[in-house]
Amino acid sequence: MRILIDHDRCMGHGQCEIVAAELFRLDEQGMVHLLIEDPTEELRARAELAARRCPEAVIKVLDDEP
Amino acid sequence: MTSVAPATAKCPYAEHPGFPFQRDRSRPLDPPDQFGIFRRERPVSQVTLWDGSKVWLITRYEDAQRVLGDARFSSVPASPGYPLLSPAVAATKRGDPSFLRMDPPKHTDHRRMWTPFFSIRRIQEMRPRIQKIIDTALDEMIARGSPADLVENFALVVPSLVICELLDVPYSDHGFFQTHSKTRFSITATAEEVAAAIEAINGFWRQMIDERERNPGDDLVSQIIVNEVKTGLLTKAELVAMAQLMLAAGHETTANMIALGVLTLLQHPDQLRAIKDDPSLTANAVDELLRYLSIAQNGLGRAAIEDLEVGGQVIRKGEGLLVLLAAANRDEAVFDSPDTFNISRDLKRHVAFGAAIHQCIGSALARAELQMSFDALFARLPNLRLAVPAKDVTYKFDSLFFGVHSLPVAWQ
Repeated sequence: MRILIDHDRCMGHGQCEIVAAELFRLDEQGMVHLLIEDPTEELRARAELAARRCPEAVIKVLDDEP
Repeated sequence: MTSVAPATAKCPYAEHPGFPFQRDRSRPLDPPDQFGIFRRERPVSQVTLWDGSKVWLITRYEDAQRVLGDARFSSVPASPGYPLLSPAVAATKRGDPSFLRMDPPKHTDHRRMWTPFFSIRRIQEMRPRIQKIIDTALDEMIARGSPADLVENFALVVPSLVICELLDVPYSDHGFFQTHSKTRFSITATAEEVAAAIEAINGFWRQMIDERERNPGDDLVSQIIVNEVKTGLLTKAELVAMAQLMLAAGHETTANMIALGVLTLLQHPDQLRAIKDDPSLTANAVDELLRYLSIAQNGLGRAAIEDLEVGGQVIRKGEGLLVLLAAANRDEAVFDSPDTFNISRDLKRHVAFGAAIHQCIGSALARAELQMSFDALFARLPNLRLAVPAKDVTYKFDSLFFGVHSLPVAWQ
């Protein structure tokens, strides 16, 4: 699993950090930072919830390429 | 202006009490007491609006997130059951909606046209210009002398200039916009008055858009014309609706928050001293002000497009809901001592900007304007204080957005 973030559209709502603090953190400017780029599968449900909750839809959860 | 008195509820236990409720005038910064009573005792229950329609009030934080996070609770005012809070809100039902009043997938396409202009990165780049606008407004207010009305001299000026700059609208037109947006967001204005206000602003934009279509600049609206209208992704009428919303939202909301925020801080001198001593605390104080004041005072409307459950209550297809952000933001299940103003609490979860796909597109801009305004104001005028007794401050009880009509302040 890989997580992609479209940083140019991030508005710092912070919903991702609320539902998956292991994966996402807002910096002092309020920009989202990805803490783990290729997290383990256990975190998939949380990552996908963060992607769904993001008001700007800037988070994408991708499968590993074969 | 014809006044339509909101039906008031004396007894919160009446089967379907009238809504909006009234604030306790001795504690104007607190939402109506019924918000807390409903949240604790009947968190999802119906009230009656001015037109006799019944609407479900959503008062708990978790239920608010649930409703706002599910697009089957439609944001389209034409959906059967959508609550029309006042005759004025009923008037905004007509005409081309902005994306605020759309559901996916259309909403998604339209909102994404605007998000790049409000991104964290773009707002960071705007900071020096915002700072200049704030400093100039303060210079001019100070030059006019103490005492002064903070609303007219500062709280309205800063967001108006910022949004005018963003949309490249001459500031000389701001009086025109202020007058009309005041009517647009009044819940005591008649439907005709609100429709006329919207039409006046739309007329301005239609002319502006025609000009920019011929001679595009590098402003936001010109870029939308080039990228979206000329390529057929957006109609001109839809662009007018969005531009109108941006301008109105930029005038009303941040201005109310600046003035109410200053008033709240002045009433909590220990916490004000803390942010004066350490401006790194201001950012969190801004979010606490957003939570505590929750100026979208009568909530956000939705309509169920199928039978759905919220907090154990079945909402039928075609029934309306009002998500009371001000009640959710004082939910004791999420915030400790929610009625206490406390700038050092953990605030990540507040819903003052709404939640999910319709969450305020301008939130990063609003946060920047508020934080920079408070820092500059209290640095330049450390002795700032109310120039009238607190009980003489007049409040916008009858507006979609809570605020003060004026805030007389002194600094000498």
